[in-house]
Amino acid sequence: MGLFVPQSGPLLWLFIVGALLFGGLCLFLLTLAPPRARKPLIAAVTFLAGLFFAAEFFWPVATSGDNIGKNFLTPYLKPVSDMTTVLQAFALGVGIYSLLNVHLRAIARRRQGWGFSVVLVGSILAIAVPALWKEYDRENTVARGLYTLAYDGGFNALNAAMFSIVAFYIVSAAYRAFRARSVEATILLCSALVVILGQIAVGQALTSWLPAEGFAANFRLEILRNWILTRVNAPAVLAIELGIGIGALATSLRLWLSLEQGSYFEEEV
Amino acid sequence: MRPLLVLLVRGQRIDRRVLYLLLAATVALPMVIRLPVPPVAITPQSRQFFRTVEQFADDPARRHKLVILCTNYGSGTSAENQTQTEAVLHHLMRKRLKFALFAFSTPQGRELGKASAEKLASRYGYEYGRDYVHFGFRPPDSVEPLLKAAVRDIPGNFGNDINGTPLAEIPVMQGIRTVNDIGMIVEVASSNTLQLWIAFFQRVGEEPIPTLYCPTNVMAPEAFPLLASGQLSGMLAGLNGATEYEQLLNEPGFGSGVSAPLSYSQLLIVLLIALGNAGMFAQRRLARLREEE
Repeated sequence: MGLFVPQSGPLLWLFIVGALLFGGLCLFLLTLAPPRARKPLIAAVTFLAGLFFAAEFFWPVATSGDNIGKNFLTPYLKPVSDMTTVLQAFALGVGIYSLLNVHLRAIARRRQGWGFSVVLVGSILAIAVPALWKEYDRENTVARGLYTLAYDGGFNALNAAMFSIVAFYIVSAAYRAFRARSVEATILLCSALVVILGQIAVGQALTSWLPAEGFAANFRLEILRNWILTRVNAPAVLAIELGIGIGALATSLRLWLSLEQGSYFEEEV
Repeated sequence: MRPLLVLLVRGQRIDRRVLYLLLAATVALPMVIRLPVPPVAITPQSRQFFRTVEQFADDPARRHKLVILCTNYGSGTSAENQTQTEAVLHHLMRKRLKFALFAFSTPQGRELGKASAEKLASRYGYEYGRDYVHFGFRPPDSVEPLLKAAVRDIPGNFGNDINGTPLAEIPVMQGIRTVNDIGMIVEVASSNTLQLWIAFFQRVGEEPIPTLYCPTNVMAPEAFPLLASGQLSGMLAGLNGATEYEQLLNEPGFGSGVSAPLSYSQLLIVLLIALGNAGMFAQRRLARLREEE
């Protein structure tokens, strides 16, 4: 476990250099591996990575003593979590590198639509530079101001605006597609109307004249809406989720055992 | 009869630009001319949410525990999720409960949650570090092992706060060591992040942790089975849920402010669906009339 404890001072640099050398050595060895051996190697690493979580979950835990509730793998959960974070950071780095590689080439060669590439690269820099500057110089008011301008004033506002546009498409789609063409569609339509009207104040006002207690209260729109969601929708959701769960389990097993086939899994590595 | 049918048939061919304009006007006008709208009825799920927080705050044996408030959303759904977050924060701060913010769906959630807490902190005399803390952001795939490990050691596994200070050194974290020191989980989400809490954290301590959910309105139907099973102790469904909570708190905020545009825009959708269907039936009737002739 000493290997996974945060280090400081000269030891930290020793660990960084060691990690770089070890990583470089692994990459070098991977390049030496014959192409035929690469796929089994990836399959073995995938299997071992998955095995850790399965074994940690199913292995019996201590029921007394200092390590109550733990098994021999439990202490490694934190290092594994940190490794996952690092791997995801690397994946993000690779993604940004790939994106910049494609778009900087497009700009340099003046390919068709290179103006959009300029906008993309400019946008990445406009957010990344102030964000990194602010992160490493927290007291700098210029960095914080630039970040607020780019992030709150630009990115957040644009993101919210993009999402709000969906409302216009929903209105158009509901008007054109929501038709009572069959019995099933009519049931769906009626229940949707009750749910929509039952959740808005103006809709609820339509049946607000009905008493709030007693049998007649069951016909108030908000009560009908709640009945649909809790008594009709909930069992249906459970059934769907059971199906999804079984499907996810099967897919996970296929990925874990490297049995998955398809374009990503059959390419030459 | 026939002219009415023809008119109804034409009613199902409204240009999409007219629809867009109608929606824009329906959203904008109630905000400008302050159209009246009755108060929204409180759903049992929102009432249950409110009651759970009240009971937690009134229980001297539990109220010293930490509340985890997860802000797993981006600015795309901030109209719903940010309003929910602020409504919940009002309640937590009013009751002087200590809480930790955390985000693992998108880095935006970290900033949005922080901004909401900072906005309300001065009003309630809340101070960062003393009354609340921010665990920062973690990539989604690293959270499963993190939560499993944090069951037995929260400060050790979450490590540092958003400013890089070790959690063990932060006053509000004093006495917070394991899952048994967590009093409530509030998940504000725009994607399916709730399952991690339920699968790996909620029921592994000495007693189940009350878990409250604030999804967007489109996600809410999926959570009803969890309410029925008792895995959720309350839910604020989208902006409607946030508006209901503001009413329960008697704290009008963004939700109450946009209740009229929200109501009228959804009423517009209902009217348009009715118009489209009336047009479809009129078309069928018109075709039958022509055949009879």
